[in-house]
Amino acid sequence: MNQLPLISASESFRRHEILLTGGSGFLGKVILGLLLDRFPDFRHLHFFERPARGMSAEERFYRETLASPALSAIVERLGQDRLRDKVTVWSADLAHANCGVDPNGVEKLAGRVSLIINCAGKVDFFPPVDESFRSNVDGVENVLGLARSLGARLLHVSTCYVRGEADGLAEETEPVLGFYPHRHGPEDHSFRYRDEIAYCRERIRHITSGHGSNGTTLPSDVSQRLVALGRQRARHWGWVNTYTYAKSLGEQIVAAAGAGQDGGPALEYAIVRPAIVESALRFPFPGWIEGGRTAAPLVLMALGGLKDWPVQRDMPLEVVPVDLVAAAILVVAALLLEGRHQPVYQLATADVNPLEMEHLIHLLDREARRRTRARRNGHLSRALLERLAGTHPGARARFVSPAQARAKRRRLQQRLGRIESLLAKARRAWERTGLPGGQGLGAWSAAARALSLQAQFREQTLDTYLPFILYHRYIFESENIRSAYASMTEADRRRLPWDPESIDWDSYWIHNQIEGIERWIQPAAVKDWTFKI
Amino acid sequence: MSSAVQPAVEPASLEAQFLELVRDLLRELGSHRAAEALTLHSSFERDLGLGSLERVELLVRTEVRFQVRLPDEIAQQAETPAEWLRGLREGGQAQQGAQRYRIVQPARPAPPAPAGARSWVDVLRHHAEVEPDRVQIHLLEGDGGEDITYSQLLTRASEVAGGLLARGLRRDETVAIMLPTCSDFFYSFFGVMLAGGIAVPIYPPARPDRIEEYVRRQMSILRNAEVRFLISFAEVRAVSRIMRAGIPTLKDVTTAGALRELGVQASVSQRRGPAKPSETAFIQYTSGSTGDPKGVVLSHANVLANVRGIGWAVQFRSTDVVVSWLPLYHDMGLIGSWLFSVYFAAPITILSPLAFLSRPERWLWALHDSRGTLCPAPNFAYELCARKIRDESLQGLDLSAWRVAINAGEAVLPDTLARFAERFRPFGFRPESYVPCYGLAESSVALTFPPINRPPLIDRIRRDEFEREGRAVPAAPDEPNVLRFVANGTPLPGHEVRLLDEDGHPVGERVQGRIFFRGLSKTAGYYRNLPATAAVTTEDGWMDTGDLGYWAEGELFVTGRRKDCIIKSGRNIIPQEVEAAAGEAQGVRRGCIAAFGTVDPETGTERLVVVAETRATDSSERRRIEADIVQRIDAVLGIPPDRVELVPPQSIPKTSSGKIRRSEVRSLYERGKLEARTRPPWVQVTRLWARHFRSWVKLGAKTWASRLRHLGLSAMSLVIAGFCGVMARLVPGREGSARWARAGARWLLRLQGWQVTMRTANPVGGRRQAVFFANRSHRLDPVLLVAVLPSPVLLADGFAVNAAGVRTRFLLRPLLVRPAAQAQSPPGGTLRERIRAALGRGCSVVVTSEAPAGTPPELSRFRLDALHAAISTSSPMIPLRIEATSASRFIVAVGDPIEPVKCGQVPVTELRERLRRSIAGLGNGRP
Repeated sequence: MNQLPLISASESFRRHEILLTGGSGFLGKVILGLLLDRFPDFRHLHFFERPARGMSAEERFYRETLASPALSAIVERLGQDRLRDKVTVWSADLAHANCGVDPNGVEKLAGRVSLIINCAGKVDFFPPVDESFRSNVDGVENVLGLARSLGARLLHVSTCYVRGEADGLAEETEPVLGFYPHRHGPEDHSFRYRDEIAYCRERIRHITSGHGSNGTTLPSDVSQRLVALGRQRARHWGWVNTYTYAKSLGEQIVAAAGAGQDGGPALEYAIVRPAIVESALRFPFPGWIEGGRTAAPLVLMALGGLKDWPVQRDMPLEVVPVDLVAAAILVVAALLLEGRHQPVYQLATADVNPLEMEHLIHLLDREARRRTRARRNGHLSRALLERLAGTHPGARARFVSPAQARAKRRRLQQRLGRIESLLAKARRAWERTGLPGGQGLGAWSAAARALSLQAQFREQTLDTYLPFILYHRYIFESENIRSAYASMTEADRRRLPWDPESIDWDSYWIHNQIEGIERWIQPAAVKDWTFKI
Repeated sequence: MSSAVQPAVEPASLEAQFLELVRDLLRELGSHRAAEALTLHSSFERDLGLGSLERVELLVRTEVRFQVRLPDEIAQQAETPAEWLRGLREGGQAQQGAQRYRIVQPARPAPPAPAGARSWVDVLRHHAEVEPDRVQIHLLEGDGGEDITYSQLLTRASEVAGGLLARGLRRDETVAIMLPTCSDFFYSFFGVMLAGGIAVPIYPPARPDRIEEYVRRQMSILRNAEVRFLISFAEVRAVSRIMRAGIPTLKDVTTAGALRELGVQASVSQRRGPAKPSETAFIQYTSGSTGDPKGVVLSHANVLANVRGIGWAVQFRSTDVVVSWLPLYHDMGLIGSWLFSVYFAAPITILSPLAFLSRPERWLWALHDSRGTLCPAPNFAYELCARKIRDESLQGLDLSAWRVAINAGEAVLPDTLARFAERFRPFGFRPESYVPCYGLAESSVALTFPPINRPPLIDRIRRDEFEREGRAVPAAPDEPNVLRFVANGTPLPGHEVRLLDEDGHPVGERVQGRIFFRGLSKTAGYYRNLPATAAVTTEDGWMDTGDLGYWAEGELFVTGRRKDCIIKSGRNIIPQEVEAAAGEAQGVRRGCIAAFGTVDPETGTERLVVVAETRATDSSERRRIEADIVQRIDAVLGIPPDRVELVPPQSIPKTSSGKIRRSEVRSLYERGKLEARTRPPWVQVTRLWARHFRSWVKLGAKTWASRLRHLGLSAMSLVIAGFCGVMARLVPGREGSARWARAGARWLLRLQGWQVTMRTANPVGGRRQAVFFANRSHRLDPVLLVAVLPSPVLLADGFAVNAAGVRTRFLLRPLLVRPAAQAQSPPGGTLRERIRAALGRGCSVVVTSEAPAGTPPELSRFRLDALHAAISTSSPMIPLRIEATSASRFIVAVGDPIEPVKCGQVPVTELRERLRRSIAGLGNGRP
């Protein structure tokens, strides 16, 4: 292997045109930024943008995507004219055939684009299954069809958590086709993605029949049934949520196309699976984060005073900074362009540098207590109520079993309910006397109400989190990306760093994660350390 | 409708007429003496020798004679003519048109089967979520019925599960279900599974007058199964104290209703994790076997594989409807009918065996009403329908939808097939519907299936060659002395069948051999009965069925059971033949004859003994019967039996499904105890009390002793783990701590009562450091490995150590590969660096598989870091396979080391594949 010449990413990008989908997402923007910043002389980029909020694709790209704090500095440096020269924005929608690009457009693109990087995807954990299918299954099929008609290769971004309940060590060598988390081994062929997709679509049609087409919104009971269907299909095969179920189906579509098993010509592809993508380590600047669907609630709960953690101490939390993921994707893109790629790349950190839950929770807890001490200016009513309800922020974090945690939460809810009803009674009595000062009591019940909402939020969040942090211990093998870097030139290795082993997790969580979340997500929530639902 | 109608005759003459009816029947059955002795208070069974089938006949005749319709129970429960008459007076109803329970056709075809389900709980949850309101069971009771949908089944089963959990049922404890066919059975069965227990369906007492034998027989099963709870009907609670005395593990005898109530109240939301396919789903006690009870342990994977196989064999269609009257404690009723329908979401119509026996036409009408397409039944059911149903009750019957008529569970007789097909052809029955197949409880239920839509294939072979040499030579069309066997088809997918001769060599085409099988549905063995398991399993995974058969034109023909086979003067005699011949004799109770061989030391061969039940007591009559039997057997076999023994009715023990227990008859015969009589119930209960009083008293003492012992053991292991753990931390050098930890681990194993055997081709652990790669088999693997590996080792995986519990964690923590001293990033270095450092210092390292719990050893997963470390220090990689042969016995097999230097050019993932293959290869008994 070492005899082969080193690959130069800058050389590859100078020679080939690339098409990026999902580029306006959290990860997509960082990929775009890295490409613009580190490889200013790249040949050409085609950018798929969906028109939205009354803006055309082009308007949206220049006014919204490039205006993001992650990109504005780079854009300023390069200048808009240069960008218009290098980047073509296409109005596209992955839910349609050829991604909604008209035949003329396809003709123009054909033969020019060598690689499609598909970062698009819906990341809600439990959406109505048809929505999840639209972007994670139909979208993949359409991108794939486009790649075939353009003669391009495909880099598909998936997620490590397609492992579902098959926890433990996740090997990159495990075949993608026919995988489902409860699979008994390589001889088990009971899962056929095509049958599953057909069945699920049939059920969707059955449920939505008589409720109009895609254009109109569905009544809530129908979408509830669609949510339940996704949950049920996922759980049936062993995926922890609809998102990872649909993502795995998407992967299998790509892998089948790669093997030429879907009737079309074989396709060159690479699947990149990041773990939980979190705030930037270095690029575009430390702490950049957007969306915050994954670890942000964990941070907010810890800082908001959650003390009883139903987690196993020695489970590692698989978090990976977004800029590392973006860099790795560009490296895989270069390898794919040179035809020296592997089918699967997992981008995770725990196999070299695990961060155990115990360490993380204590870290967050120390930070929470430090802040409480520094604050000291909360409402008296709130502080007293917290004492009464047993959630005073000065206490230390504890590790409890899920049953204990549930019992504690239930007791807390009961206590809060009792306090609330007492306050309401007192307030009514007070108002009947006609004396002034009823507002004071009103503030008290508002505080109690806020506390109970917070408790509910925690309940929901923990339920969403349980599969990751409680039942399943994952180690995602990330061997392929390491050997990929061994075949890159020194200059590219510096331009696109992948160094999870050198991350200092303490500093990352305090300075990048917490500060990033405070700065870029929910500023209002951070102000009072409560999290609005 | 339920208004009692007085038969239009005087009470006195009613009595007389009824007795005359019974007398006629007895005379027809050849029991003249009994007919004369008949009084109102003779016992049907003891004095008159009327078995359940004869009483069905009597029921039919009574109804015709008096123009009434009687409740079914009367045929099985009335003890004397007087009781029968009371039933006739009180419960007799005017004969009405056949009012049957209408069954609504399912509107939509069945949804796809849950192909990915890993357990039966998954299957039920799947269907309850996909189509909660789909009716699963139509339960027919009398003339009414009850529909059970998937969601009802799940909800009520969850309530039972809640009740069991609230009563303290723990994972993998057994719960016996002793219920007749009723809705509670279904709830209890899934309830036990949902609660994480193991269901043990056993057969319910049919008759109150058989308490002693019944309880004794069940007790040995319940003791063997170590049941914690018995779910039954309320009456059984009366004998629960006796049972508790005899069964030390039994906590309570309860009912499904009580459990459900408790489940609703307690609302225990304690749901266990999903069951793994390899976990035991339930234990099926075999009906046909002799001697000690043998509980066939069936895992979820076994039963799922079998049901999927049957679905393939019968080409299951989404519009299929199953009909069954088979008892639910029996494999064919439980798996072959009910669970099959649960899996494929086919509606099933279930009636009780009692309902079928008393009026066989009910079964056919149920098929008609539900447009049943698929129905399994044993041979005698077809015979009964062909012979015992009156033409009037068949008017309008339509069996044309019936496409799969499975005939299994006992020998399939060509004559029966012909008779049934002949009789029911006018009603739309087609002989192509017959599916005669072969199976046994050890292979869940089914093993071979013939192709469907083919009339049964019947092989006529010459008797002489077959009996002398075991060769099945096709007979000429006009040959008189022939044997006929029905083709049983080919093995289900995923199963293999082979026939071996006495020396263990495969036999050729058309030669009789012993049937061996293996495959996905094969049981792991008999529950807590290692000798019995070992007796029927071979080292390479085959199981001896004990049955005989031959191959012809690619299909299996089953010829008989080997353990019953009689070998006289070098000639194999099949007992069924002898019994059938003797059954023709006048005055013998048909079906109540046992033929067997006993070894005669004087001649060195077996003596053929025939035991037959007869009502005759008169000595000249008995002489006549004996002579008749001898003559008839001689006519068929060409040899007379050596001995004919006549015994009173009910002396020959039978299994729950009515098969003769020949070996038991033999042992009774050899001990001279054939003529045991049943005693009155109160005597039986008293005797039971007396027998179990002492053990009942001992029970309390024993519980306390075991508690104390347990306490002592855990205290000791705590002290040892503590002491060795402290020493391991105190002594300098890793070698020293490894030695202390190993000493501690060995003590822990000893206290646990574990035995670990090491199997190795070449001695492990010279002076050179190595990396050991082991699969995970148990929580305590790290302890086990540290204790048995000859050289002191370090451990790579902190998670495995932590998972093993506090004591182990304290003892083994010092052995974890420690962070290297020099500054590195991440702090302490990556796993690769740590292992490399340990190897560099000359310590061996154990790496355990990081696959999820329950993954088979051959699918173990290892960190590439460990392989990289071994390669960079050129340390050999040694595969280990840990296997548990019982709860406390383990085998550690050591494979050939893989030298990293030799394969330096090979990618590391290929090396890992080699390790995996090597571990897989270690499983086949190879060192």
